[in-house]
Amino acid sequence: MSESTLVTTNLLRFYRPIGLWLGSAMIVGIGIALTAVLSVGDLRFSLWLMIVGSAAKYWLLAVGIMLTGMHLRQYVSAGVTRHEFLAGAGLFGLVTAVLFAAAVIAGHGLEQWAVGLAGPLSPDYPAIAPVTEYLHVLPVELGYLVSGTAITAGFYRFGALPGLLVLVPGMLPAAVSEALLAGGPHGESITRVLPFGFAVAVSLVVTAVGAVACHRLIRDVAIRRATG
Amino acid sequence: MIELQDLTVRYGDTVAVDHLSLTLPTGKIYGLLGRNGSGKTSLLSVLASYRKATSGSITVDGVDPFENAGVMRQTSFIRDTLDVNGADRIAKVLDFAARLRQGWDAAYAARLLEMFELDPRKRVSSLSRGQRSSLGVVLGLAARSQLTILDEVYLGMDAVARTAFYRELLADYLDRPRTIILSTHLIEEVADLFEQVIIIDRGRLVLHEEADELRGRGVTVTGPAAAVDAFVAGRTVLGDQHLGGVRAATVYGRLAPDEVQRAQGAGLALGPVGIQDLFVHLTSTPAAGPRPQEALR
Repeated sequence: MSESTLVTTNLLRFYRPIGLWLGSAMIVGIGIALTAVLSVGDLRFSLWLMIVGSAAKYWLLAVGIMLTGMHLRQYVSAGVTRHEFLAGAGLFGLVTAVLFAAAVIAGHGLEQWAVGLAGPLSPDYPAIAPVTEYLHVLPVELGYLVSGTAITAGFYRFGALPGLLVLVPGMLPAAVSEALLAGGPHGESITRVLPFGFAVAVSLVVTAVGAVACHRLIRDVAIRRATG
Repeated sequence: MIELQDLTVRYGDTVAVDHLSLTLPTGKIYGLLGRNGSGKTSLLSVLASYRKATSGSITVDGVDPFENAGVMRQTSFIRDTLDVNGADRIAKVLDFAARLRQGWDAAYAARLLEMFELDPRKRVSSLSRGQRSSLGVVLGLAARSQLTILDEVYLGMDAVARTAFYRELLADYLDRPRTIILSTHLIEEVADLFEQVIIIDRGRLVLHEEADELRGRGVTVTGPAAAVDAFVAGRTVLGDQHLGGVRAATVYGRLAPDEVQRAQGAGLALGPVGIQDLFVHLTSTPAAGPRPQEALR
């Protein structure tokens, strides 16, 4: 097994229990909330998309922050090169975002099925459109992941004050994808400013540029000490 | 062979390592000595590929170690602050090392844990300073790397743990010879382990020589106070002790054979000098320019 594959598998191993706990808590929480809402009236928005959709992207932002802030020195100190770490962490991030986006869409489908059991769907409830939804959710999640990595990489490389200068460009992947593709008030997929295809493409390009910037920031960065 | 040529490490205006050149044959235990802010950690960080040198070159077995997978796999750099996740339990930290380190010796790691009385179920964040240092030693030694760099890993360890560490380090080195670089301030405690000593000050190389040769740079002259006074007159005295009418003076510099004869003729006993005394002498001379700040390393 190559070192970069080792990085990917070990990161997946590290985050798997956290992801499972988070997912389980979400399912239970949404299930309870759904039961409560349906017992008093119609569900006019997707609880799953609103809550889990948001949680997934913010969780990926946190993962991006931890990749540089915590994992980089762990792996380099274990004999992994920065290049191998970046390759492995990149694949891990991609796999995680793809799986999370799939979980968001699958959860929406389940929610719609459960709501349908209780009666006819409200006209305001966003009916599932798997492919369109997936293409809305995945670029946003990737944008948040790359933004988390870029922002931390800036602080890690340049220190506190100069790192602030990287904050604004570092937020671009999340901000652009959010502005173009984030869900509407009911959780529905909305495309803003640009036509759908362009919005997805622009979002992915900005995220890819952010990923390249992360690589440039980290590929030869000094491995800093732990603070604690 | 590790070769450093004109190596310089800067942090902004601060020069941590200043045009340092060294050649270190492999398979030895090196003592890297220097005062606070002398550039030890910066030098070790470059050796371990933790940072790039600002200028100059470094090679390990003929290749630049920076981002070199082959060299980095065979290098363990243990800093006084551990590069592990504080929330992890010790068992998880060791499991991680076992997955990543090809030469990881799990049985040896388990034995070291037992020796240092570390409970694998404990989280790193709950360990005392000394226990964290002990965990660092476990990670450094059980990795079985060809180049093992231990940077002040004894911090917080009690005397028993330190003694166990020194004993284990030597036993393991004799069993599996490799290159070990120890940076320490507890010079007298570890001095017997060193085969070669490197002293740096303000980022510059002060001395690099065999430990025995270094010890020969000075001599302790013991005998009646008047006779010692007469013998050491005009020499650099590094240290002095009096007990009744007896004086023991530590003198810098090698004695010529006729001087040895003269001392013995005067009833004086000559003995070796501790590396620490020589280190203090060699690094206490004020030099131009401020000492770089520790925080910058």
